[in-house]
Amino acid sequence: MGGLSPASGGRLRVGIFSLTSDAGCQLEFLNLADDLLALVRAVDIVHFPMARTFNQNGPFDIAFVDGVPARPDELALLQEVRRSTKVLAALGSCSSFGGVPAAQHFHDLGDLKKYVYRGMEDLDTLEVFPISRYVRVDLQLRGCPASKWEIMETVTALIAGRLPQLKAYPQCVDCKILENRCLLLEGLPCLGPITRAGCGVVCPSVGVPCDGCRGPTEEPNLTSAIEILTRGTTYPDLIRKFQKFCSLAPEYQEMFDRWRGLV
Amino acid sequence: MAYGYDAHPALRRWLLELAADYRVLVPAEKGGNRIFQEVGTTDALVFGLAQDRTVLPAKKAFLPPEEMLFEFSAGRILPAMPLDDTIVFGLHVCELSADRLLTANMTHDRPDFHYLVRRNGGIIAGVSCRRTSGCFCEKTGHDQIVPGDFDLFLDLDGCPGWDSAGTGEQCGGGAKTSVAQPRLIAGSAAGRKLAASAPFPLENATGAIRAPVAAASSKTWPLDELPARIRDSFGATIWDDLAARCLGCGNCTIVCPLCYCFYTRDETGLAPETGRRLRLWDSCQLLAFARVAGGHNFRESRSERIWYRFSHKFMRMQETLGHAGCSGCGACFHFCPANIDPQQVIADVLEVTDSA
Ligand code: SF4
Ligand code: SF4
Ligand code: SF4
Ligand code: SF4
Repeated sequence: MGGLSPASGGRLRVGIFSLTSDAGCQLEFLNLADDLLALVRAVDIVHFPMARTFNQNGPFDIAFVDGVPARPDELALLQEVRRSTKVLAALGSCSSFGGVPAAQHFHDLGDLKKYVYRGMEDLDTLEVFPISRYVRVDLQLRGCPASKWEIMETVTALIAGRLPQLKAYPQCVDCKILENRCLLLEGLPCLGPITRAGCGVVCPSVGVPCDGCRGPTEEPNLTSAIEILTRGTTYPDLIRKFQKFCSLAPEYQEMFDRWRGLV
Repeated sequence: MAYGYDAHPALRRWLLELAADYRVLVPAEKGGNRIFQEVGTTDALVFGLAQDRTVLPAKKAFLPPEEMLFEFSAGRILPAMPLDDTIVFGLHVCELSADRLLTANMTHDRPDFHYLVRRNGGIIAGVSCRRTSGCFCEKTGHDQIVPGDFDLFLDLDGCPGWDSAGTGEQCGGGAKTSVAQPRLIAGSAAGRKLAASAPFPLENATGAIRAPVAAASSKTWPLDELPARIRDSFGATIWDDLAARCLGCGNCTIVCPLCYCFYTRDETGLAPETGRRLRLWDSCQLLAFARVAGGHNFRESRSERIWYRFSHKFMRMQETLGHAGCSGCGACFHFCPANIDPQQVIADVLEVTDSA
């Protein structure tokens, strides 16, 4: 088989790293349940602070990195991981798009330090960016949290030496196949038509509109989407929805610029 | 309001009886939607058989949204054998007509093994239609069927009370059986066999069955001319106007009884010598649909993709199979967040290509 050839013979060495985040994406590995047992038999997860007492350094064949570098030492760790890894996967929407921490871009950093970290104004913090700002990223596993299905697809693909087949199409396809009630047609602001599939449409399936945590589809028609979505919500609320998880996605920037021009 | 098969105890009993030997799909309520579901797996109220569209069309019984084609393990390939014992109950005239055309489409050129095994082993039973909002089968030529198009047909035309009574009583389901009875029409030997245990009188089919006439009088379409008209409309601004509204969400083709595009995906296991090949529904409205190895995309713009959808239905299928690849069910319009209505699209095509 033409898979990744393990760095040290035997099985692939996998590292799971967390920068600033709520670590929910790492937790998804533990949530793999039965698949996790099969996974640890198939690859060597040598670095996984959430689950292991002793963690090894590189080299790694695959590194999953969740979160964003928000402190200089995290940036150094990210760069070190990159140097010692063959395939680096951004795990989740923080590392892919800045995630919730990137909301800082819509506020003054000084103010945030004052109100959120009262008494710690000298906090040494970086501006938040996706990890691709600093290092080469080979794969993006989007979502808040990343999807278990995509984690397994990525590992099995790399073992076999094929490209992971992550879904690029909108949520609506999977939602319609599940024959869910369409919330957008009922007037609720569901971002499904312009958000990438891959989570199993978990929110619309329980009657909650998609909040777009997996980020935009390729070439989303945002102009028409805004017109349709503002039938069920206000423009400011809609913009806030787009700013929640993936505010640094390139596809959204023109929309935010136009919004900044308005306010 | 409880009406339909569970309001008609005898019909319910019969379907449950059939479900002992077959997988029987009927349109039943789930989460506020009407969905073809398996009898016996749901106690859900069944919506009026004669009205309302389901989310996914009956084609899902024969061309499932996701199916395994084969699995492999240590160099051995194990083909997946499709199920072939499904009864789908409750198709309207346009759906039966679409089923005939879809089957012709899956048979010509390169017969589709998995579809045909399921379809040929399947039994379809129609039901009188009361029309749904936004449907237009008379324009697309899918407003009538002949006996070969169905195995059984439940004719409720003598029984308007079926839809409105709220109970089956007025239609021979309860004690008061004085009112008109529904009747079954057999279109095949298989249908006749099933009907032997049915609670309705059986008649042999005599001729075509037509959909009821649309309430609003509507202009018919020159179906023979449409291929040339669609071809001529390529590049017209109507497609750009549609592209400005369309979200590219794919809802329209997923709910269409006459769309059949699929892609295959190969999955490997944690042991890389094991895996399986799946086929899943695709949609020409998605950006990646016409992207090929190397990254080239044959239909890069949304306007080309929308034109393509209509050209496949009203040009290519009309030319190769002699029928429009649109049954006129109106599902794509109903489920489209941007309200894109094929009736308006074709009216626009006719207008911009009208050289007379
Ligand atoms: S509920 Fe949302 S994701 Fe589902 S079809 Fe409607 S718009 Fe798309
Ligand atoms: S359902 Fe409507 S918005 Fe979505 S792809 Fe089809 S035409 Fe476009
Ligand atoms: S209209 Fe599009 S999705 Fe439907 S059958 Fe044709 S090419 Fe396929
Ligand atoms: S194109 Fe629309 S109206 Fe025509 S058959 Fe498909 S879903 Fe129905």
